[in-house]
Amino acid sequence: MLIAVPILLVLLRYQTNELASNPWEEVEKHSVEYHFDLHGSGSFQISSFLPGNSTRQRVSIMTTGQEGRSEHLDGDNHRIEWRGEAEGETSLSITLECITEPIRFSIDPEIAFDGSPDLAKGIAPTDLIQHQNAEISTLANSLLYGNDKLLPVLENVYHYVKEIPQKKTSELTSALMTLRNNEASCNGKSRLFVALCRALGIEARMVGGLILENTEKRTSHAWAEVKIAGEWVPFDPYNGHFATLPPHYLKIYSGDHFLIVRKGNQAFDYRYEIKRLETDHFGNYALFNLKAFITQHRIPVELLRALLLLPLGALVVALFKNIIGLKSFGVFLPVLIALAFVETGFIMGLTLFTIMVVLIGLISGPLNRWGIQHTPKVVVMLTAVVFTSLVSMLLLSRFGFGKSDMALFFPIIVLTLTAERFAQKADEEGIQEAAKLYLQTLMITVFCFLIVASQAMLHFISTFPEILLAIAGIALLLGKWIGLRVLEYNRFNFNLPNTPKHAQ
Amino acid sequence: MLNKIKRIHRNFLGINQRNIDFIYPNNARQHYRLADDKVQSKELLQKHGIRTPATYGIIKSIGQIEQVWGRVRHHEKLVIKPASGRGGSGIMILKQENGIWFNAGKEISPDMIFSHIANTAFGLYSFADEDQVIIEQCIIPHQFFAKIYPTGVPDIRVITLHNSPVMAMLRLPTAQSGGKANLHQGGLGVGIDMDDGKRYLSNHPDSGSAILGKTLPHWNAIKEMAANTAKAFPLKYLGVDLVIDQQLGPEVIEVNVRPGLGIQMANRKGLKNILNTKNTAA
Repeated sequence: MLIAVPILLVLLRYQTNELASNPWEEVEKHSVEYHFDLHGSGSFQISSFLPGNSTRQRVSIMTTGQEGRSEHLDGDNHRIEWRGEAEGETSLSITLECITEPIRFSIDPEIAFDGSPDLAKGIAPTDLIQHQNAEISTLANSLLYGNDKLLPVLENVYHYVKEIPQKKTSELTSALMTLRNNEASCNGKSRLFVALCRALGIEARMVGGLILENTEKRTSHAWAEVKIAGEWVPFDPYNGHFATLPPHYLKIYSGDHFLIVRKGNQAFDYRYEIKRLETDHFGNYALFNLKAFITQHRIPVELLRALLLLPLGALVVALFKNIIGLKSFGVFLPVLIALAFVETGFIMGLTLFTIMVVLIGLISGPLNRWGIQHTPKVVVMLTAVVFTSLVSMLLLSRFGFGKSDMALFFPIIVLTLTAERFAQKADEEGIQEAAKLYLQTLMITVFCFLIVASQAMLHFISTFPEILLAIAGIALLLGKWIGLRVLEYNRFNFNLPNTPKHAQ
Repeated sequence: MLNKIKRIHRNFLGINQRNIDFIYPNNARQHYRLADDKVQSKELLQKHGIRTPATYGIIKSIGQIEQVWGRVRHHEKLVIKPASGRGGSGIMILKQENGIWFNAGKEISPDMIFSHIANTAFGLYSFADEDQVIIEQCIIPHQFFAKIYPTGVPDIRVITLHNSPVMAMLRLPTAQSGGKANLHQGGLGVGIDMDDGKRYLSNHPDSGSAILGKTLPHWNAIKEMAANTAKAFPLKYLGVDLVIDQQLGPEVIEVNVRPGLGIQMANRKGLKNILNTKNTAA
């Protein structure tokens, strides 16, 4: 009952809701701000592109009514222009909100490769995409290997370009330069990919956009598209995406253009400020919007995560203990450690915990031999743990692991708690036993981490909190389960008395 | 492979079923203290006239260490144990020669003994934050054992369900276990035939003395004492631990509400069917 009713309820609410597509899809939401700074006076003109809507991206322009701003469609692209007179410092900006999804095309392997040489001739080569150049067309033809289907041809071209070593540069690189230097940035590689396609009579074009990350940057990204069965299919030979795009790609324009073109004599600087926004695609299903509630009351989302995912994490621990037979420090410690890892980042957390365990292992021996009593010994150990974690956190942050603004209080508490358990275990049963228990704890922790760190899981439970009842129900069933634990089969795996082993 | 899994599943009792079908219905939580706290269990045993090692002193707080130690230090041999210790941890066996104390063959200073007592009182070896420390008579094992393995104190674990003994094993100290017989600490478990008190299993790993087919001394008395102990406690699924003293015969040293399942390995026999029959019969 306890399990079935909430699950039915969730299914019902899921089924009867027609608003959202697939709530498990990794949709991302970012605010993107173009920033232009002019220094000096005189007339200026800045021209750029705005991303448009498509099946995988939705864009809203948040800044309206700017003087001197104009927008118009230019083929497939949405152009934006600012014109005016600058004086002293002039700053221009526009903010967009972009919702992006991953996309994956499957190319029908039956589509024939019918490269029409007409197309190669029909599109005029440019200074940067020289598809009629002999070197490029020779290479393109050598990549055919006699295939008469489109898919293997595209694969060969893609892999050839992908294998060209990457070069991080903002230099403008033509297709031919990429081929000759055997080294290129994203725009060079994409141009070569487009040129090779065009040389084979496959319709292809350049695409420009931004990779959305929670950061401020000046680098835009370029990739390519190929028209297959009437659809433009993306290929990024630089970052390795074949007919797919990850969720954080924002396409801004198609064609071999620059994202920013400027006229004027002022000193000029630009940057893109990108902020990742919370996405909750379960929101449409919610009866009561927990998310909005906590935001309104300034309750940190990490607290909500801890609250909502604690039972699920604990259930994972219970499953590991009662069904597999693994042991851990304390019942909930693995969940708490996992939550601490969410704060510190997984690598940093793991490193800290392992350093801590090694440290306790090293100092507990001498402390025991010296005959230090238990409680003061734990104090010594905790001091060592706190000291080392501070030092290693500083070091790790310096090398770019972990978040710079992380809240350390909770992880430190959990860390010291674990350290004490470890010290006690080491005291009672020796370092080896304690290390074994630590490894088992870690194993469970990894699984807990996968659950408590999952954004989708958080959204899911905050939308359907009734599922917590099902967790309790499953736990009740588990509590009455009398089967042997998996590891017990191993423990009891010996010959029965019908084949007794006598003394030799 | 599948047959092996089925066979194990049919015969052997796992922790889940032990808890759900035997411990929870037979042992009420409020009575756990009687078994977990050796001060209380010894009182109960004495009240029912069941032999248990003589208590020399009980230390209830750190402040009493010197005073109680002063009262007990004249004994040539003694055992220091936590009242609520688990798995045999925290047990220290001391012997005195010319005023110098020895533990496991090594000299030990009174300071270190005090430190051990204090640690024990601080609850290092117990479930609790603090604990009482029992100082009691050191068992001199029956000579039967001396032939098998001369050091340490072997004991006998008897599992009882509804007051009747169902399975037993002899636990022998090994070099690894430091004179203690607990399986967790490296002791060797040897299955005992319930009817005639003979052992099945091979020889001692350290001394190599064969023990196969030798009848355990006082076997019937041991079974009876285990049954009486089970009757004395309001706990109906128990592990009763006994030792055999050279002069005093069998004595109960402790009872366990959560007896381990390793006894099935020592006997090469599963507990599942035996217990299921007894449980439904009761």
